[in-house]
Amino acid sequence: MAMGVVLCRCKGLIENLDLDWLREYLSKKKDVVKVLILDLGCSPQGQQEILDLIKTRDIDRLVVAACSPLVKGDLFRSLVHKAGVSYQLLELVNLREQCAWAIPDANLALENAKIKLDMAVKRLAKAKDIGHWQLNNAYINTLRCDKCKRCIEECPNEAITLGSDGFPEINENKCEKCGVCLGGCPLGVISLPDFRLEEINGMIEEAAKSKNEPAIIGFFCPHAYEEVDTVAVSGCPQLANLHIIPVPCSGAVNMTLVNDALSNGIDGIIIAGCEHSQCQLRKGNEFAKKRIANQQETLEEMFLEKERLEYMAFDENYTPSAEINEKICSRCQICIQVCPFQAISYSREDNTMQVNPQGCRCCGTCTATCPAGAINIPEASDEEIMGTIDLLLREGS
Amino acid sequence: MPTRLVFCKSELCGTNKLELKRIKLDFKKANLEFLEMDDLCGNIQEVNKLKGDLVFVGCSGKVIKGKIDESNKRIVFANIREECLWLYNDEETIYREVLLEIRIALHRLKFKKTTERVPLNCFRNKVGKYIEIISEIGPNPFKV
Repeated sequence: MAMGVVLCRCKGLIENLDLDWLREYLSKKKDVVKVLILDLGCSPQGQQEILDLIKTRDIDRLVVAACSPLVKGDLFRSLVHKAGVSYQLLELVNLREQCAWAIPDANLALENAKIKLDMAVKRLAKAKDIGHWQLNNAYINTLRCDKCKRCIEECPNEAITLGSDGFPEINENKCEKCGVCLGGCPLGVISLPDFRLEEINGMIEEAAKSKNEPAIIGFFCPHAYEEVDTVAVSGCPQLANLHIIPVPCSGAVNMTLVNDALSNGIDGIIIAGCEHSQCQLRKGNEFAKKRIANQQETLEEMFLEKERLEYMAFDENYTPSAEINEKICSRCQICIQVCPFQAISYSREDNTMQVNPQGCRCCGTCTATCPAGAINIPEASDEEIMGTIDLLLREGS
Repeated sequence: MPTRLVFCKSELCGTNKLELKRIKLDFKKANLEFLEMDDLCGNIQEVNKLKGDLVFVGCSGKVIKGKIDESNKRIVFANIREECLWLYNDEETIYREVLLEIRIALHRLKFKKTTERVPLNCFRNKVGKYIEIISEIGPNPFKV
């Protein structure tokens, strides 16, 4: 195993973290062969340096600590893929938005960064490239599966069926990698290509070593993760105590992870997802809430406070929402039927269609469906898009 | 007030290679004001003092958007760094693409609204409250 770590200064945007100290610290880890500090990892020069690092040191797994994975994650994924490293063996650490920008106190931020990097190194150390990970869907370890069929019942996409040998079978065309099956499996025998319980356990063990107390683990769905990025930019000292592990959906959190976290000494666990109707992967949040309620009972039976485990949805209301032009709207209510997030409702009292701004994710389904053309998505109106196309066509000719 | 085109001239990003004269020439008929800054990321406070309609010509909006104060302003990003400078080697192609990016940004600016959507701070409030509760309960007994 040869692990490389890239620490990016983000052109000076990560300024309150002592990256040289972190390099010294990481260099002492047994699996880490090289720690590289770059001024701008995403620039062509930075990318070349990462490629050179992988080639010259035979790196087979890589930690990139830079901006949020939502900003440059795809770039780094395609870069390591180009270098022949499987994307499951890449771990992106959000040092900028959720650490350097969020935590004003330099010491707390450094401790948080250290734990984040420890978690990443541990996850990669536990990661196994055993061939199944070329699959792009959930994988069931049939050697340990007891054929309880819970995954078949719970899969929101009906992607799991009963095979002829009695074991569940995953239809790779239907599987959306939401992880709801993984979250519900009582034996924890289901994995996703980049989300395995064993690896997550390793991350939890490292988070428990945090000196910032209380130590809290957060399992955040992509939507909640994006919300944290948004608010953390303007400072969020609470993140010094919270160690976020991104999950594909709140429904993907298996309660064995909660037990492991508590037995490792984690003080609190937050599972963050979407509000009732807004789960993009359908039903994941409902499953998460049910499982949490059951687990809270178990905690009480173990004489532990149920408050240690909590479900949260933030609804920061930071995205623009669809706007309905009442003058044109015919109240046909088709938009209510097509909205995947149930964010539109009809008010009998006012005889108006109303958009819940916290529920609307601005996907544009209603805009495309409205027969009267009464719904607009801010900054994506027909006029704006057609004008841009016009500019591009003029340039082409 | 004319729309301001704020050019980021960063050596590390390569945006300092652009000749502003040539771009100015192309937009001489438009009511635009040209501003140059050594490095937008390093001068966020200066950037936030700018008022009115602004087009930031530099990197992708994702990189520094969070740090920029958008209240009562109309701001659009023309991403010439990732979309032009880092993508092409030929100088002519770069200039053509840069001009196109700026034209598209100016077009998008017409539709931009100044309405502000301030985050509700649910995250800070909820997590802050949760940390207080956990601190009150005390450390996890398994920790010992």
